[in-house]
Amino acid sequence: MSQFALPLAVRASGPSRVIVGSANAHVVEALSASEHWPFHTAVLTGPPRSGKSLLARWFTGRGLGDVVDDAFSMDETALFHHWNRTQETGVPLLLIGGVPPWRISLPDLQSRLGAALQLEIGLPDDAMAGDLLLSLAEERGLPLGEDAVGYLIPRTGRSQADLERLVAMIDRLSLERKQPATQSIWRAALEAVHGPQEPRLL
Amino acid sequence: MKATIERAKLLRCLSHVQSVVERRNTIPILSNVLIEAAGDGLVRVMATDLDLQVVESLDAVSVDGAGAITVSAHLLFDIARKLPDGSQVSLEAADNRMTVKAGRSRFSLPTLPRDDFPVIVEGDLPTSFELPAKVLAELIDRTRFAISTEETRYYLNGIFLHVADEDTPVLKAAATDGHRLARFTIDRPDGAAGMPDVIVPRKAVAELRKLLEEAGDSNVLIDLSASKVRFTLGGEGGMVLTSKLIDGTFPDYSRVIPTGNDKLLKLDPRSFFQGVDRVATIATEKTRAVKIGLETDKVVLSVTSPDNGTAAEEVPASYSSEPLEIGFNANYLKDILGQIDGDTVELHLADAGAPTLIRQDDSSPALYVLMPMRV
Repeated sequence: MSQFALPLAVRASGPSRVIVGSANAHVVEALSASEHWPFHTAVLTGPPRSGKSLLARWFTGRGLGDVVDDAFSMDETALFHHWNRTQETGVPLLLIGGVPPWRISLPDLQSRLGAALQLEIGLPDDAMAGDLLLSLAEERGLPLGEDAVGYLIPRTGRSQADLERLVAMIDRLSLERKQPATQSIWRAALEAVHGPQEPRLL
Repeated sequence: MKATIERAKLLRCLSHVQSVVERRNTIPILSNVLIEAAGDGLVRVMATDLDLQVVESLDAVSVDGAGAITVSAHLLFDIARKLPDGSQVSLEAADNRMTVKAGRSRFSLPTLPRDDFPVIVEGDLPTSFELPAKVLAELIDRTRFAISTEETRYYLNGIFLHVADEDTPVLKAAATDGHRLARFTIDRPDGAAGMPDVIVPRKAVAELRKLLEEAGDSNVLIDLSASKVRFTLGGEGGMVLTSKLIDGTFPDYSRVIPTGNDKLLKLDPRSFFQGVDRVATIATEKTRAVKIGLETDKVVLSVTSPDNGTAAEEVPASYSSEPLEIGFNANYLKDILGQIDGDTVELHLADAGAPTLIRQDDSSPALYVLMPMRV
């Protein structure tokens, strides 16, 4: 039998900063220049857990314009009206379009959003993945250092969701075993997330 | 400096302060206690580990020369321990030595100058309130067993104190090691409103608890800021413990306290404790797992060990939900059951993998959350 860990929550406030790197630098740059958007509108898409809503919060926090989060799940007619209002007021409108592609059935909306600035968050490179790993660990109060980055990044998936799962697993295993998050825990977490690295001989 | 002190007083005082002093120190003066004799017959004894300091005052029989000196805490404590009961101890500092005389014994100990002795700078301590020593002692007893000893998660290495506005304003103390959580709630004392959230380190908690033994029915004055806390205790002469606080964020623990656990088990905490203790005898040292089978109005405790065989015991209980089998670490369960004073304990369960809520009843100030083991 082994001990379960208490699901001690991630800090409710979310991450304290936005990690900018290869996956999203172009997005941050475009968001900062919202006054130049075609038809005052931009559509932001990206893989799950890649920080779309976080960037949206950052965008409104800096007073750069309005945001409609999860716009892809919204009523298309209402969204179309929203777009029309934006053309009158001139306040930049950022629509969060979920995981691409965003299929729109209302032809009017489709053509309007087709003319908007398209922004897509990509996959992080090694440097950004390392920064993300440390940021995710910090958010959980999990002590993880540069040596962990050097070990884990070459061995795990590159997507933001993969990194999040890996950090959550390291956190859980270290709490369950009451051990500092060191290499044996990293290895066990990689195995739990991705399966065993090599077939076992015995 | 020259002072004469009753051996019993000196010993009691040194026993309080010497445990602050670490056995091994890279800075030599941290092995020492500061002894300061004032002209009015008061002697102050002080020890520190740079994060925690304790100052205790005692009345001397006589002070023939005011002054201050530092000597090895453990040496002086061991000497005081072995001196005959009822004797008077004379401490005299001269020429880099301190002479300790009592009866026919005479010791000459090396010293270090008092000016080198580090003192914690308290700074401004804007929050100030009082608690009865007994309440503070209970608050510590009910929570300290759950303090984490895993050093890398330093923010779990203490008792978290915070105020909250519920139906009435409250002060809560919480500790967790990631496997169990203990929380103790009291009415918010006057003066604690707006208090910053603080984490009092494990060692300070242990030293404070020891001092509280001497405090009797008196009140403890607590002054704190976001980085330091000071406990001032009455008792003879008075004791002051000052500690740095843990600089970190305690997790939002309220989210792990279950509110919807629908299976209620009620039983006598003592027979439950003894049953768990008995069957756990054969559990292997590493896991200490006890399986608990819940059936209508009874609990079956069992342990299966590959090396030591099996054990089972039935404990009468009140239970009317559907049967459930759940495993717990026997020591964790005993830690919590040992805190229940009444004749019944309530366990609120959901399933074999979910946090279990344990408390005496819904009005008890202490509440515990225990994570099960995989069965």
